[in-house]
Amino acid sequence: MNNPVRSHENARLIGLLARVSQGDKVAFSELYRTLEKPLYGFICRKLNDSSEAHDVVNETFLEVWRRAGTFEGRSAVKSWVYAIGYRKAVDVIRKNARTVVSDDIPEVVDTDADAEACLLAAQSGEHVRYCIDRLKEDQAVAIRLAFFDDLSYREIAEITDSPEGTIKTRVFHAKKALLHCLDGRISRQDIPS
Amino acid sequence: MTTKDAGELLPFFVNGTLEGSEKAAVADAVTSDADLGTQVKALALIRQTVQSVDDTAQSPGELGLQRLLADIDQIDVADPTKANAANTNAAPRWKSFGGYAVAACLGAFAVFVASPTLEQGDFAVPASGEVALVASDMTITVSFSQDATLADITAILRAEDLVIIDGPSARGVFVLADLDGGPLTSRQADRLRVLSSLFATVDDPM
Repeated sequence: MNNPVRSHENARLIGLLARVSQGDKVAFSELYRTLEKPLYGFICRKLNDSSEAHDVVNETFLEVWRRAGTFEGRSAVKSWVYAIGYRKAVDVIRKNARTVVSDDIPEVVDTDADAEACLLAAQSGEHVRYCIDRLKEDQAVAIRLAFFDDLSYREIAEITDSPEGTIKTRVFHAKKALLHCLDGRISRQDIPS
Repeated sequence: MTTKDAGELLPFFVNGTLEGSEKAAVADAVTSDADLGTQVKALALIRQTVQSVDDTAQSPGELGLQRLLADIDQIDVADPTKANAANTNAAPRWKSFGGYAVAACLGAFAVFVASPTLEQGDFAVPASGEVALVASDMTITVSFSQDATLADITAILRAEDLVIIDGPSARGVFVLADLDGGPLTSRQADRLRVLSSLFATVDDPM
C-alpha cells in the first residue's frame, strides 16, 4: 500500500481497531461511521437486497467488535472488514439456496469492442449504469471493488478469498463485457469520423 | 508484458493501485498501443460514473449504530468477562422477516398483524374507534413524530425486533409488540423514548 493517503487512512483505522479491541465504543462508532456506507454498498451489490444487506452489515460489525483483537495487520483494515462481510453475504446466499452464476468459465467474445465507440458511450452515465447493471453478480462486485473502493487486485483477492489470477480474469471479463455493452449502445453513425 | 496481460491489469492501472514494474509495464503498453490508450480513457469515465452513484442512501446509518451498541451491551451483560473479543454466540437481532413485517405494516399503516401470543381480544375498541389497549406487558403504545420518515421507523422497529400490531388510532397512536411475541420491558420503551426525533410519545408496557 504505497499510496500515502491510503496508508494514512489505514493507520487511522488500525488505531481505531486497537481501541475497539479494548472495548472502546467511541472508537467502534467512529470505525462504523467510516466503513458502514461503503460496506453496505458492497454487500447490497452482492446480495441485491437492501434488507438482507442491513442484516449482514449489522452482523459484520458485531463480528468486528468481537474479533478486533485478532486483527494481525496482514491486510488493510478495510479489506479485513469487507472480507468478514463478504463471507456473511455468501452465507446468506447459501442459506437462501440462491443460485449464483459463476464466472469461472470465461465468456466467449468473438470480436473486440470498438474502442472509440466505447469511449463515446462511456461519456454517458446512463449508458455506463445500464451496462454495469447487466454484468453478472461476481463481475459487478469486482468492478465495484475496483472502481468504487479503488482496491487493488490483491485486496479484492483477500476479500473474496480467491486467487489473484481469478480476480484479474474476473475483472478482465467484466471490463470486456462492459466495453462490449457500451459498444452496443452506440450506433456507428454516432461516431465522428 | 503482452497486450492481454496489460488488458487484464488495465482497470487497476486506472484506479491507481498498480505499483512498481507492473505499473511501468502497463504504462508502456498503453503508450505503444492506441487501442489500450482509448480503453484507459473509457475505463476512467466508467470509474467516474461508478463513484458518482450513491447507492448507499438506504444504509443502516446512525440507527444501525444504535442497534449495534445495544447488541454489544447485551453481549457485555450476558458475559462481562467476554466483553469485546467475546466470541459469544449472541444471535443477531436483526431479522429479515421483521423488516418485511414492519415494512408491510407501515405500507398498509393499519393492517393488523397477528402476533403469536397476541389475540385480537387483547384490544377493546370503543365506539369512538379509538384503540384502547388492555393493560399488558406485551405491548408498547407510541406515536411517531411528524418528522419521522418511513425508513427511520422501519429501521428502528427492525432493530428492536418490534412490529406494529395496530394503529393508527384517531390520535395517531400505534401499538407495538415483540416480533416473537415475548414480553416487553420498560428498558425497551426507554430506548425508543430517547429517539425523540422519531417518537413523540412512548408509553411503558404495563
